Amino acid sequence: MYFLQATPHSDVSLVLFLGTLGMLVLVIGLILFIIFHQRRVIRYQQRLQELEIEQQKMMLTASIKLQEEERQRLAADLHDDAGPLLATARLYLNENLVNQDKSTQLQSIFQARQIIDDTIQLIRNISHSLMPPTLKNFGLESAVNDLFQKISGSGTINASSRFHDYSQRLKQEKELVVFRIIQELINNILKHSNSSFIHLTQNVHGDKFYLRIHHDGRGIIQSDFEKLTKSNIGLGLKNISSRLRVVRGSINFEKDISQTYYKITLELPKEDPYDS
Amino acid sequence: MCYSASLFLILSFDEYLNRFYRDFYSAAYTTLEYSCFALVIADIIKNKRIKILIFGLSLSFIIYEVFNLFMIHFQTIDSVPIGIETILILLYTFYLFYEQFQKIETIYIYNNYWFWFIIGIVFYLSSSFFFNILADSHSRAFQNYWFITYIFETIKNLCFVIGLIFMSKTGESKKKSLSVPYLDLI
Repeated sequence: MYFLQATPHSDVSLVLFLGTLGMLVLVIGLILFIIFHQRRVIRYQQRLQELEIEQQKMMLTASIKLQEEERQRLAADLHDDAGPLLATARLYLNENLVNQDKSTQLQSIFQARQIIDDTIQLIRNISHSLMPPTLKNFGLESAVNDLFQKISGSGTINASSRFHDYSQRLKQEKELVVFRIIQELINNILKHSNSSFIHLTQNVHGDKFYLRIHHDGRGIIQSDFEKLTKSNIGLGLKNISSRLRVVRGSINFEKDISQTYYKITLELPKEDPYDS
Repeated sequence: MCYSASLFLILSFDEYLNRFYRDFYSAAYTTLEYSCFALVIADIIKNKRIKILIFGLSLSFIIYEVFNLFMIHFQTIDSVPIGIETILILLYTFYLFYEQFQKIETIYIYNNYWFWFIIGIVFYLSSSFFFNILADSHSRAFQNYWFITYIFETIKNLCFVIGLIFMSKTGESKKKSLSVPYLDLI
């Protein structure tokens, strides 16, 4: 108002005064908007981080639970199968054996030997379930082919696998992780999908390693997978997710364009970026 | 630094230059100011295409300013180039803020040194915009109001000082984090 009254050129002064005031209001408004908008975005980011931490906790719990279950299964196998077998063998080889006639002695020894052979086979099976020897000695390709041959051999489902480019093996630890993920996925397909075929393909592109599993049964898509990993159920899927995190890989569940079968794609780096 | 040093030098001979080389003085001041502001903003912007666009627009602006200097005679200041300068710089800053919105940041925007530089520039240019575009055509009426631009200029300089303080702090924290590798989570 000072400008309006003090000068003879009041019209220009008014324009100047109002224009400058308008620009100031605009600039201050813009600054405030930027600051408050960014604060809101940061708060949202923090909430997302909290959710991610929560999810990681859930995955860790799932992983520990799975480990405990595995230990319990091992304990049960050893206690329920190996224990009684060895106890029976011990019965055949008791102190009275020396007082018995030769044919009874031979029969007892033969029986005990048979039981010990069974026990050895049982322990070997337990050991193989912990670390498949094919995987250790011949690599992922052989182990997967072996697994698929066994499934196909059962006659209930047609399972096949094809590795297009596996001239350069992944690291042993990585192979084991990938193999466990494949086992879990195949297990899920066999249990829930009621499919008539499973087909696995492998390839590499650039510095990425890809695996794709196809099946024609009931399946899930990515949104289902994400929901299940965030919920209290789906322990196996949580385990897949945490294993993938270890190898810095990703998984994608989708339905084929033809809508006739489901596809599960695994993608992971050939080399761990943190190794070098 | 270059901007401050050049302006300090020009302003030291303000009266002399303004009296004998008014046109050249105004054009040089506007060009220098525009170039420095555009350079600061282009340095912060990450998009290469926009950087090239800023370079192109800046070149066009400087050519126009030279043309304006030789072809058009002005009373007090070169109002039209200043108006164009303000609009261009405001457009660049709007894009800069848009680009920053796209990024996922975990630190508040006002903790960045460049934020204070940009706020200073935007505040100074927008608040003196009407004054500058009307000053040449109404030079007599505006004779008593030159002090207004000094207020905005002072605020701009204060923002620059805050920016420089943040800039020096950023440098220190970078040095600290380098001395202990892999200590930070991020």
